Amino acid sequence: MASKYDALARIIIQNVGGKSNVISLSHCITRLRFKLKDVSKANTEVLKRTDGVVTVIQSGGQYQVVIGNHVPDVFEAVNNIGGFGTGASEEVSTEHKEKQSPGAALIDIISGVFQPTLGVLAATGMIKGLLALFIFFKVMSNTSGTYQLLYSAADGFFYFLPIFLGLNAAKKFNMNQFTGMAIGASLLYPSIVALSSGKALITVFTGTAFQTNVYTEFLGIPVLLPAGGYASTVVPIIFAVFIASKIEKFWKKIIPDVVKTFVVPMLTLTISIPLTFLVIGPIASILSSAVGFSATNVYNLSPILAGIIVGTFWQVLVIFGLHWGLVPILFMNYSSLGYDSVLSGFFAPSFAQTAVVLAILFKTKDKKIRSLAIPAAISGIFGVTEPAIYGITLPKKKPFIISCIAGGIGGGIMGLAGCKSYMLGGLGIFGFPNYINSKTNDASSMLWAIVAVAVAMIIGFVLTMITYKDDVVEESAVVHDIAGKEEIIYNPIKGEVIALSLVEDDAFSTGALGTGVAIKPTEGVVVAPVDAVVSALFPTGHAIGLTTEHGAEILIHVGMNTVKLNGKHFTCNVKMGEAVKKGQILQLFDRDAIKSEGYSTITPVIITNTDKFADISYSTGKTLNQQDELMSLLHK
Amino acid sequence: MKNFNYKITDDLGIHARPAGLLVKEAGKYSSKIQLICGEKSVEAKKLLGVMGMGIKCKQTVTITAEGEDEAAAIEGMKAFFQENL
Repeated sequence: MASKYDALARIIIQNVGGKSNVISLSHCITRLRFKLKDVSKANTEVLKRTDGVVTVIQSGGQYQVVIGNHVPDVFEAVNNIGGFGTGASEEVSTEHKEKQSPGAALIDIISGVFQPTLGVLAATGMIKGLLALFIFFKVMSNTSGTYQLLYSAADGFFYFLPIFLGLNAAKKFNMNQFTGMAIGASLLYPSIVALSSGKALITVFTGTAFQTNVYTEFLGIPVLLPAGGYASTVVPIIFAVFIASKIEKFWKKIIPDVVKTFVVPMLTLTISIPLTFLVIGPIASILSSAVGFSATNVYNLSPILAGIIVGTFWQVLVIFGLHWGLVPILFMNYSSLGYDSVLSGFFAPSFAQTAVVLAILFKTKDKKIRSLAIPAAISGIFGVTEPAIYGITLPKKKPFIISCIAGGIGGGIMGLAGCKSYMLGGLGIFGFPNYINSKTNDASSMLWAIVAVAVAMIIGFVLTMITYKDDVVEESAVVHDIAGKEEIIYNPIKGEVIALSLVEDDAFSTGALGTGVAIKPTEGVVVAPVDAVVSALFPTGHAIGLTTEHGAEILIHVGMNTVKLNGKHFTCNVKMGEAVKKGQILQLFDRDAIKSEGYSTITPVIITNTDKFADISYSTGKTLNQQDELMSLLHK
Repeated sequence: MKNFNYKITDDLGIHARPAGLLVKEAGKYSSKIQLICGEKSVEAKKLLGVMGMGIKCKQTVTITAEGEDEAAAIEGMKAFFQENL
């Protein structure tokens, strides 16, 4: 798509040394952040003089081109032309990798790989949820063409998830994106999927808990397929692409350039795909058998404990695709006993997850999280928790842990009550009827299921309400920048915001005193723009300096040359060193009297320790009320 | 460490504008520069600190500089005060 920033984007790419010189690109609030192979190839001076570029800053190994608030549009244009990938989160997680524990690194990779799909994930989750609603209320039949078409619209994405994740994982691990997708596609190839429903060639690990049927072999080596196949799985494709990226790197080095374009993918695919099936398949099937085996044993030991464990770890198992080790137990029990109580604990976690997301929805002020939390909560009610897990709780880690704890408690209650499910029907709220014995109409299990769900939801909701905080650092780590915490300065005086350069005093207009804006007051009241300490108070009361808890120093200087009034027309309400709360009145001034004495009341609001910040952004030209957002500071 | 005393002659004292210039001048040097007036003392590189002193006309201030370029800093600051304050 053509954008009005295309020309600017081309100039930028050209002057950072061309596409090939760019390792990665991300952006924060006002800057394009490049990682360049060779910084000396960049024409910094040309860029600095380019219209639309504020300046160029090099710090922390990044080549930062400062654009302004419209940087997302410029970023998009640069990215369209350069094809650098969606950047933001990618770079952050690779930078973090060394410092993180393997578990945290894996979570970051999983959420990073999901991040570009979140919109579609939430959308398809919603469609699934609504369809479940239509089926339940018999608006639609699940055999009708209408339903099936719509269902394919929703489930196509879920079913073929490994392909989409293959694309994102390939971007992340820096390999050919189509090779990544091809690996995902091969995992789901129809004849491979059909294999596991055929006749077993042999059975391995006979007589042990790991007994697995082998349906096919590769060069004589038995190929074990995970119990549920690879459809909708998450972790296998990420591992597969990770390994493939190493293989690709190796071939890239030794294959001559002339044939590279097709020989490298050819060799990468022929090696990595069999390897994936041979390595990941057995690991996945052995692990899921182990999960199933231990669940049965723990249940025999104590149903309550089994409920707690299944409830706590169900969602973790789902992420790894290992829950398929448990599902066969369910079907075995249905056919032999007519009911199952081993797995009852898995019912509460999806509700716990939904409750956690609802709590976040209540508490967050972050528009991005909110816009995702709404569809995530709705589809969660219908049992589709992927948008909630991958979009919100897992990246934030703590909410995910809370949902596991709450799910575990719910599971424990169901284990304690000996809840029995009689069929595997609907999900989410449509799952309750699964707990009614259709032969005897005994609904006691369902009543306990309701109790367990209610408790799990309350616990999940309350714990999240207590502990959830919009973590600025973490939020910016995903979207903007890890270096800085953002600090918002609110407007202290009602009036029009103008550029500092328009002030008729060059101590201010040149930025010598600091960066900021000026306000043309329409009211003679100055309030504290943030919680702060009064750190400078000129005896005449016309200027006030504040230091915020994060160390930003703000100067509010009412009027020009008003020092000459020697305090006349100014009333100061605070003392030096006093702690003030945002919105508290600091000083009053008589706007008309000052004007009639021939002074301008234009009031610069500036950050005097500008050099402590990576960036200070604001917009001018608008009339703001007191406490509207005025400036955003990005800490270095 | 080097220092000098100066009696402010500007009618308005060290208000925002000269304070800004003072901080800018002090920022040119790597030495630690202190502004002392009466019992109060602040770092001359911090604008809010300098303004917060509320130094008025006819008050005497002491400037101290300590560091590698202290001689240059004292000279520079002296020239600045004579010119502006």
